[in-house]
Amino acid sequence: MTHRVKLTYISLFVLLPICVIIATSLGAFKIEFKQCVNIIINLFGAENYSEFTIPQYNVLLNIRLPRVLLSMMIGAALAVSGAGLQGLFRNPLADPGLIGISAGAMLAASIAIILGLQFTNGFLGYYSISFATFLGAISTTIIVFRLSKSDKSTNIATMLLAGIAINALAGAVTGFIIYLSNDDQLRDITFWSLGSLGGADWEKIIALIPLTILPIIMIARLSKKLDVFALGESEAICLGVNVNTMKRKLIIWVTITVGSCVAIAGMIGFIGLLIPHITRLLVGPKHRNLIWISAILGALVLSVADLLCRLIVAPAELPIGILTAILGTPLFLMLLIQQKRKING
Amino acid sequence: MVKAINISLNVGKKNILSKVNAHFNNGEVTAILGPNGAGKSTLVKCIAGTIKPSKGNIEIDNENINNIALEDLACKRGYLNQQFNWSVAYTVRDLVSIGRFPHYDVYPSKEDDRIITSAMELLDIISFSDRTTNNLSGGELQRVHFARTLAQIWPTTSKEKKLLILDEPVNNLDPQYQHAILALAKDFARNYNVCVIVVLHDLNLVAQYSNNSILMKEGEIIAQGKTADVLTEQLLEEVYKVPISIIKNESQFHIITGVKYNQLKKELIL
Repeated sequence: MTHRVKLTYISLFVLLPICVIIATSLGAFKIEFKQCVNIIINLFGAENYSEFTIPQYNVLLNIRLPRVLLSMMIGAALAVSGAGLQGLFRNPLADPGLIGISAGAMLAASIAIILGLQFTNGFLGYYSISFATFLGAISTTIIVFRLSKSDKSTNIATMLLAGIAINALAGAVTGFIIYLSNDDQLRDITFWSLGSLGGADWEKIIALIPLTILPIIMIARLSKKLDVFALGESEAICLGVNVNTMKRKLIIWVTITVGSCVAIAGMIGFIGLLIPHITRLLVGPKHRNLIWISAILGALVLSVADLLCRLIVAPAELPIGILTAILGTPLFLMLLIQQKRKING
Repeated sequence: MVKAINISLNVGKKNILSKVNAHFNNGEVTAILGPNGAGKSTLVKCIAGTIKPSKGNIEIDNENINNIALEDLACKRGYLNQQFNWSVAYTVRDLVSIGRFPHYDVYPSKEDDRIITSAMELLDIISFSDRTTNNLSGGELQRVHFARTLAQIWPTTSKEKKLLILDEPVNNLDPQYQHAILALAKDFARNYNVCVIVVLHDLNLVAQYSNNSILMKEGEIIAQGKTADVLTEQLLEEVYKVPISIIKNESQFHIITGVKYNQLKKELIL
């Protein structure tokens, strides 16, 4: 590990807890930084109730902390999925939207909203939209994956094109559904498509832990294979990589984790594209570091972005998708220009 | 020893390879030559195992290639492709170490590191080992990939039978490195009992560095055997459709293409 990589790991690990404390202490409901620390200390047994009130305790532990943790898990999962897919497509512009995940999720969510699923207290009740979204995301990806399979192998170029085609189709059907919707439903659909981390609670956190942490670990375990795969498909085969197994594993884990993130928080753009990009500039293209640092950086960036969403228009909230795009686009363009300068010397 | 037994490959109705039978010995360099589209690269890809022939078998040391696990095959067979992916920004050393990937699990051993360094020294690329591969020249990148392939099949005990497949390894190189690379390949064959298969266009390099040759045309083998027997004016003219002169005696073996020696002699008044 080079000096630079070590430094990046250390600074990110220092920033992570700092970020948790800052993000939990700031917000519309006032909790002093000191009180925040006290509440956390209190959690670990030291009794000092005098320093804070019960509402503060509840807001911090049952609203803010789950929300910060949720944003971190989702940020990490999206960033790692982006890194994995960029490796698979051998293209730094790939992101989870490319294989139909987002389009399928969008379509399913619109259908769920227009059918009024969130108002019924059926089998899944409150979670019916999330469940529909997850199914939508997974089924479009399965279609894209099937279309790109010939004989026993998966053609990456076909997969890209199939993804574009399915995206267009799902987009058209979504458009038709929007055309059918009434004003309230339209509003719901629009807000869903902009993403939100509101409504985070411990239940969601516990549900999401296996759906983000496990996929991240499994994708990271493919790092060495992705490193070889970057040289080309036949090189990877010659160096002992079963490329078809690798592709299948990667797609499965990415779909599971992105599908569940989208189901819980709606569409959050740019993290999957941008974070691996920045990480590559920091620590180079080898996937072991790329994936782990992307995970930490993704967690940091999304939690800070969510904090800003809560602060900018407090006590209201900005949809997070707007913020990631507004902050992400100039940053991305800056990177592009910088890279161009580097190449032109 | 590698055997290609009755290999055929069709894409649609076109026969890329038809009924190719060939064998390649350890300790020798076998050159594959022929005009563009003769099926040379396809044949070596079949031998490398990256494409499967429609009919026939590849045997490596009497074992069908389909029965050898991909990971085991990766430890004994190195393959240098004609084309490279330019966009990866690994450092030169990282790229060469990828050659050792099949031999270790997570982190390379000291032995692996030693091999990586030796391979880089052999190819004279150690001076720019920290540069990234996306801003190397074509020839430099070619040497880096050759070093990676050598690192992959680096002989550690004399009993191992390794296989080195090179598809036009000297394309982008100036004469200095053309000879350096082919001399290395020959050295690996002779001293470490490696079976070297090399696709070459330059007939003089074939004459200089190969023990055996296979001459191909339109997916079929026209002639195979000792290089001196395959490289004859009559066979080469038939395959390449240009006048060819061979000047051969105890001390020299030169091939002149495009013109007959007698005419050249007349024109230049040699």
